[in-house]
Amino acid sequence: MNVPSTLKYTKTHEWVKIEGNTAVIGITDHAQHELTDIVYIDDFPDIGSSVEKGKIIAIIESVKAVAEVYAAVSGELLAINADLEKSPELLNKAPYDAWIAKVKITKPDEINGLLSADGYKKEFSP
Amino acid sequence: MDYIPHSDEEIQSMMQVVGVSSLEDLFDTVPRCILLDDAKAKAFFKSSALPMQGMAEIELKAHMNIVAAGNKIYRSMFQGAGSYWHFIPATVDYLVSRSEFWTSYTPYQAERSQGYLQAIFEYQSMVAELAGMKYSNASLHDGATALVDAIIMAIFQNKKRGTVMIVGQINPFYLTAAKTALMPRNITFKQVDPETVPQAINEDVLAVVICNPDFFGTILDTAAIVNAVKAKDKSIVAIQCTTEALSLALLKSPGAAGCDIFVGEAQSLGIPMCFGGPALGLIAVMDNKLLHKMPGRIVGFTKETSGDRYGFTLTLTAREQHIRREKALSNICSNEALNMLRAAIYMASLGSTGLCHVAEINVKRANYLKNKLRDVNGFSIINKGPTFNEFAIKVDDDAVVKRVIKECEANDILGPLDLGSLDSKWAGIMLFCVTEMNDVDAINELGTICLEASTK
Repeated sequence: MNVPSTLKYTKTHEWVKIEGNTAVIGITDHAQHELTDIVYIDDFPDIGSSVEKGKIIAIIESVKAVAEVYAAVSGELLAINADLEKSPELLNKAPYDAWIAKVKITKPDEINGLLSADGYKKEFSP
Repeated sequence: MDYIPHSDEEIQSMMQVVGVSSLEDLFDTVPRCILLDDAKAKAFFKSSALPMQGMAEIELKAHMNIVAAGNKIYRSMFQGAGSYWHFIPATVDYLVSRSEFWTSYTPYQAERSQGYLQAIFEYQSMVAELAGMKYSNASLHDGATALVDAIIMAIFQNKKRGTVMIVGQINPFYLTAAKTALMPRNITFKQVDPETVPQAINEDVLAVVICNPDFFGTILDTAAIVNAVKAKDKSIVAIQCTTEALSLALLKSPGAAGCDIFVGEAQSLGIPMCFGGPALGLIAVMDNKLLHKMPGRIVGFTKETSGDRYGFTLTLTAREQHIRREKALSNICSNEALNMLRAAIYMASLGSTGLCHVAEINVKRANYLKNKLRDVNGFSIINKGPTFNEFAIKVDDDAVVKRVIKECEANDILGPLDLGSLDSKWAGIMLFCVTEMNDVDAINELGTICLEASTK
């Protein structure tokens, strides 16, 4: 399982990359592997709207399941990755390049609550 | 597999767990007055035509003949209002009765169900063509529930809004179904005339439902209405709702008119009236985004992962409950496969030329009666525009309506629908329907009955 040490993680299998006061959010290699072939992503909030940590920011459909993507941090939704609407399979091919949403962080303290790569890996160890 | 019912001990232990002392207690939310006890059951069987005990086949047949003789068989019928009297070619009954179709169930197992999947695919293709839309599903239960699902799709598109605007007269049963199903969502329904659409639009409108032809049979200019709506607000979902699918053969398709979703009732396409059901719900959508929100099954055409063969498969089922569980976008877990098949065979039997021809006969005969009744003293046509195979006539004296219907009954004709019986605001209005089944003699006879009823 690929878990880059440069990123932060959530228990709900999102990765977060902190770039200044922006959080870039995607789903982990483990998540895409469990979902299998991803065929659709939808239900993004409007750009500019405020998102709350733990609330749904997208819905992913794979050939065998439907999964929700949660906001890893609270803030203002700056952008969504429009490429994914046309090519959702990018989430399978390169989960750490295929970002889903960019959020302007309004509660920097929440970053401390995110998991490190080791912490995320531990979630899977017995 | 054996059917093994619960033993008395098992029932006792289960009741202990849930904390009830008897089965009666378990079902005590059911009102006592509707329970069928022994005495009531006996009285019910005595008063009904149902036999008290088993019969030999020969007795049963004789009994059923007696029961069937109680049905009133009309020589001619002039009522539509959502269920239509059309000719069904023999090909329909013959082909659906083939055991390959007759015994099939939902084709989850694509490798064993290629024939049925192909039939569904053909149906979807024909419905899409008729509706002028890109995608159709494998059918819904009926027109009214199809409308409910279309509105739910629109709600997903415009989550923060709460008004559904209805243009033209909506079939009151459809409106009741929509209000009932959407009650927990707190949706407001606003009925408007086509002319007042631009003024009626506000920022709370999530969808506009264009009833075409409407409940009174009037043909609306869907394209003009959609243009007026979209000019004000592009995000409003435009839905055309059609209760007489045959009209699609002649009128501009909802897709060409710019609608996002088409829903309707396809009982007209090869399905008997059957005392009002089961029928066949149509749904079709224009764009890819709505395709992902469309309820029900969809059959696709695809290539094998290994090899060069093509085949049919169920696809995009991620909206359904077996995948989505509590996140399912629709409660539709089934469809009307047999009626869907009837419609597919009907459409294929007639072809596009045949469908247009039948639709033309409907318009011509309905207009023939309309022109006859136009001249009757005290009769006024209330449709503001052209009509398809139905039209509504208002009379000043409601007694005339009752006389027309009574005289029709006496002559074994099912007369027009007394709209006053549905809603008092429609007292004195009769809804007439004429199809290819009503020959000129029958139409003339009805014309004479109306003329006489108006002068008595």
